[in-house]
Amino acid sequence: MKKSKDYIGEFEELVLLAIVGVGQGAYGVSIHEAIEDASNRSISTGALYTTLSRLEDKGLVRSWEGEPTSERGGRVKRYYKVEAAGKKLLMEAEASRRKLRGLKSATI
Amino acid sequence: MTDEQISKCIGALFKMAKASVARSVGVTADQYLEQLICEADRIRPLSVPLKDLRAGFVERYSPQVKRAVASKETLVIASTFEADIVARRKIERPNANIETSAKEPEIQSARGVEPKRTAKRRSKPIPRPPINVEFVLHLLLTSDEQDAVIGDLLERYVVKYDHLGKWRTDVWFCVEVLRSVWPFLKRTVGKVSGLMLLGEWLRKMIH
Repeated sequence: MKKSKDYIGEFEELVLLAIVGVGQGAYGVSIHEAIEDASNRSISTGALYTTLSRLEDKGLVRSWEGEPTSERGGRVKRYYKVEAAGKKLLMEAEASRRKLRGLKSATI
Repeated sequence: MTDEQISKCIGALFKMAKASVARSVGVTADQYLEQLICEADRIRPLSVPLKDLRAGFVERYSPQVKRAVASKETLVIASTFEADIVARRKIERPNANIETSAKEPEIQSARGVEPKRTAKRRSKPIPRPPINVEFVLHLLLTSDEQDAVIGDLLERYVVKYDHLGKWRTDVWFCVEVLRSVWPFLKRTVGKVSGLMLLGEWLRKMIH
């Protein structure tokens, strides 16, 4: 059996996919927009950041401080990147889903 | 104002100058930073120790720096610098050379070229939300998260402001902040109750 930290919930998976999708320069606002556009549901900033913090604790994403902008009141951005472990989990989740659908291979 | 406060304030200004203000003036970040430093310290070479540089900087802009530290609006000073420098140098084009503009301000002024991008930005002040998010979320956010979360909320506020107008954006902002409180509160309560359970378990183990 897998450990609990090897599992990711539906929203965690969405966040990871959004970071991968946005690519370089993925930060709070861009991740937020990517999820809202793709899933057509409204998410709160709090929900996003608690999830990002949980993913970081699990070692699935890495974050670092970026540059401040005037629109942000001079506050810095925090950029996110999916780690190898995160990508592996995403692939596993996708593989499980495909297996359940009776498909043979999976790629992310 | 302590040295540490001055240092923090100047650090924040430099950071902003490098990152965002430079773009609106139309020079590269390093050029703008160099220009800022020259302006602050009466065109002194960059080899001057940072401590001296900061002293000159603060001496000249001391009232603004003090006011900004008090109100935490360091951006205001950066804007003042920007306006100051643009007015003096009259930067001609986006990739203007710092050396040219530093040595030949009169020539550039004589050309009478207006810095269009900057003027456009300056005419439109950045809208600010009705409530202080920092105050609302302060206890629930970790130090790492504070800048990111509050900055994101402010950035989204500015974007929505253009589409929705002030009243609707203010309502959206208040709702968004309240919605954001719950996940952070849940996390904090979870951590506290976890610690309490651990304490209880340890107490039982000892007795």
